[in-house]
Amino acid sequence: MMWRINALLLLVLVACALSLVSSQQRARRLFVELEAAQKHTNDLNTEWEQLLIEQGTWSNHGRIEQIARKRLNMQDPAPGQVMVVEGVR
Amino acid sequence: MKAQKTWPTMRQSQVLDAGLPAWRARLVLFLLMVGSVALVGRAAYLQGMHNEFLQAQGEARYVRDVTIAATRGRILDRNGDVLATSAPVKGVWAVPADAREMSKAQMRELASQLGMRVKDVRQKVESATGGFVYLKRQVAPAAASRIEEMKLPGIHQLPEYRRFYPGGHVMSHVLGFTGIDNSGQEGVELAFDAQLAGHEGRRRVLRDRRGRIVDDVADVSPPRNGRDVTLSIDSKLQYIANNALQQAIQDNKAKAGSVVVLDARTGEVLALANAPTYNPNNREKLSGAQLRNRALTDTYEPGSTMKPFTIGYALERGVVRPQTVIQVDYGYATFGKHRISDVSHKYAALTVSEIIERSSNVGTMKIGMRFTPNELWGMFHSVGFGATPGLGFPGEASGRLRAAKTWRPIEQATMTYGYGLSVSLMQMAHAYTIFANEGNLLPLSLVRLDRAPQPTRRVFSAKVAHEVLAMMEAATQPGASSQLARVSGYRVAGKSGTAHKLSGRQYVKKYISSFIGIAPVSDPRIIVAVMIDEPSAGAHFGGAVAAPVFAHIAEGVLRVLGVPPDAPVEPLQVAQQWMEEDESGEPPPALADTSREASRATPSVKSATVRNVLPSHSLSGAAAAGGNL
Repeated sequence: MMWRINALLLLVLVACALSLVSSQQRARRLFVELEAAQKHTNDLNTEWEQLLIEQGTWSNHGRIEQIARKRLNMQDPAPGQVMVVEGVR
Repeated sequence: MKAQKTWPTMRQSQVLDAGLPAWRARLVLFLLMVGSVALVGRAAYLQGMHNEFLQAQGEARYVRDVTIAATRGRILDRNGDVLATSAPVKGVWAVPADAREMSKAQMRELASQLGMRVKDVRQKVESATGGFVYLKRQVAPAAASRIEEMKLPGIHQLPEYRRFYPGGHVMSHVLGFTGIDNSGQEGVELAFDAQLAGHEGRRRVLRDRRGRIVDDVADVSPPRNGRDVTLSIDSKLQYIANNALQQAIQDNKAKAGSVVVLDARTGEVLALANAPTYNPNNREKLSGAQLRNRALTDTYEPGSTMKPFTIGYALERGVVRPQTVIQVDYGYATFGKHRISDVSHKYAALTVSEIIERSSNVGTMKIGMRFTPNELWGMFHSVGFGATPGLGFPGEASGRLRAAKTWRPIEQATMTYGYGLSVSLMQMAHAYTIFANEGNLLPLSLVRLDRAPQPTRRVFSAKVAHEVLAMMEAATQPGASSQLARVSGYRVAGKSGTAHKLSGRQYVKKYISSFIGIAPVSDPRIIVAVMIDEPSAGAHFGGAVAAPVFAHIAEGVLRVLGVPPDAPVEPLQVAQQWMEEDESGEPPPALADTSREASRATPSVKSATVRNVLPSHSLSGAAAAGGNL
C-alpha cells in the first residue's frame, strides 16, 4: 500500500517539476517580449523626438517668411488695408 | 547473493575461463568508492564553504547592472513650440586591447564613419592604457548604426543624448546650451538645470548567452525624466525682435545691441535678443562676445532714458506739475567748475512736459537737485536699479547705484539725467513697467504665467504714471526727439537716450543709443527696450538709431498679438523744422546723410569736465561695467 502512495507522490513531484520548468521558460520568453516592447517604446520616443526637431526646423519663422514672401508673393498689409473687427478674438 | 550465483556461470564462459584475480574487482570497487567520496566531498566544499565566492563569480558572468537613460526636459515657448529637445545619439568607445586587432581597411572605414582622421583613431586605440577609451561622443544615429553593422572587434557604443535647438541663432542667448554630459552651461539650460535634468534609473538583470536580458534580479529603480520648462518667450515675437535688431546692427554698423520685449501687464519676457549671436547647434568657433547675453549681463550708463524717473518722482512729491515752468537758461548750467549743457540752446524756459519732450539735461537736473541724495537713491532703488531683475538667469547684472552718502552734488546732478550710475537693458525695461502699470512695479518672469502677478510695489500714483506716459507720448510726436518711434495706427510713448561711452576715465566719442517705449498708450500691452552699442554709420542719437528699431518691433509685435489700433491709421508725417535746433557743443552728430534722423537726446557732461565729475573709485567700476560693453 505504502509504495503506491509513494509512486503517486513521485508522479506528482515529477509533474510539478516539469511544470515549473515550463513556466519558468514561459516567463523568460514573456520577459524577452516585454523587453522588446520597451525597446520599441524607446525607439518610438526617439523617432518622435526627431520628428519634433524636424518640425521645429521646418516651421522656423525665418523659413516661413521666406516662402511667404518669395514663393507665394505675400506681403505685409499696409495700414489702411487692415480692418479691426470689434469683440471678436 | 545473486552475484555468487552468477559466478559459476561466468566460470563456464570460455572467454573468462583464464580466471581473473579476485583482488582486481575489489580494487576497482575501492577506487570507485574513493572517487565518489571525493566528489561528494568536493561538492560539499563548494556548496557549503566556498559558496559566496562562486555565487559572485557566477553572477559576474550573467548578471549585469544596466543604467536606464533618462531624458532631459524640453524647453518650450509660451505656445508650446519646441525650442530645445534631446535626441538620442551614440558614444563610440573601444576596448583598446581588442581594437588593435582591427585591419587597416576596417580602421580606415571606422575613421571615415566617425569623421576623424585615421591617425587620430589609431593613436587613441594604441596610446590607451585602461580597458576603455572614447573614440568619439555624440555620434549621429545613422553613422552609429553603420558602425555597428561593421561588427568591428573591440568597438562598442553607449547611448547618449544630444541637445538640439531648432530655433538656431534666434533663441541662442535665452536658451544657452548644455555640455557633453548634458548639464546646463549657459542661459535657461543652466538657470533651470535642476528642473530639466533627468536622473538615470538602474536595474540588475540576467543576460543569456546571446546578451538578451532574460530577467530582473533585484528591484528596478526607475529613471526620472527631466521636466519640461515652458518659457514666457513667444518664438514669433522673438523672431521679429531678433530680425529687427540684426538689421539695425547692420544698418548702423554697430558693434553690438540688445532688445527686450516685455508683456506690460504681466512682466513676462516675450522676447530677448542680442547681437552678435551664434548658432547653438554648432558651437565650434565661439567667441565670448557672441556668447554674452548683453541685455542681462552688460551694464551701461542709461542717459536720458532715466529722466522720466526723476520727473516722475518730482510730480509724485508734488514739487512740480506738468505745466510748471523751469528756467533752463538756453541749455547751460554751471555747477561749481563743471558745466552741464543741453543739445538744444534755444529755450530760456521749458515746462516740465517739455523737458521730457525735448530731453533737457539742465531742466531735469534743476528738478532733481531739489531732493536729497537719500530721496533720489530711494526712488532709484524702488524701481530696481542696483539690484538684479530677479530672473534667476546666470550672470544677471545688478548695475551700479552707489550709496547715497557717497554722492557729491555734481554726481547727484548727473544721475538725474542718467550718468554716473549703470544699469542693464533688462533693468531699464523692468523699471518702465511702472509707467505702463499705473505706477506699479511688476516682477519679471522668464516662464509663462497663468495670470498677472502681484505687483512688487507701488512706486508712483496712477495719476503721475499717466502724466509721465503722456509726456513720453509727446516725445514721439512729429517734431519731437523720438518721432521715428511712431507706429501707424497705435499711440506709442517712449524715451530715447544717447550716452557717451567711457574709455578708461574719459567719455569718448563712442555712443550707446537706446530707446525704451510703451505701446499702445491707451491700454499698454508691451514694453520694448532697444540698445545699440557704438553705431558708426553716421547717426548716433537714440532717437535716430534706436527709436526706428522700436517702431519696427512694436509694429510687428502689436500685429501678432492682435492688439486693436488706438489711433487713426494714416501715413506717418516726419517733421523737419526742428533740425535747426540741433546745434550743440557736443561731438558732431554727423547728420549729413541721415538728415531727418537726429534727435535731441542726451550727451551732456563734457569729456573735459567728467574727469573731475566722477571720483576715481567709482570710475574704475563704471568703466569696467558700463564703458566697455
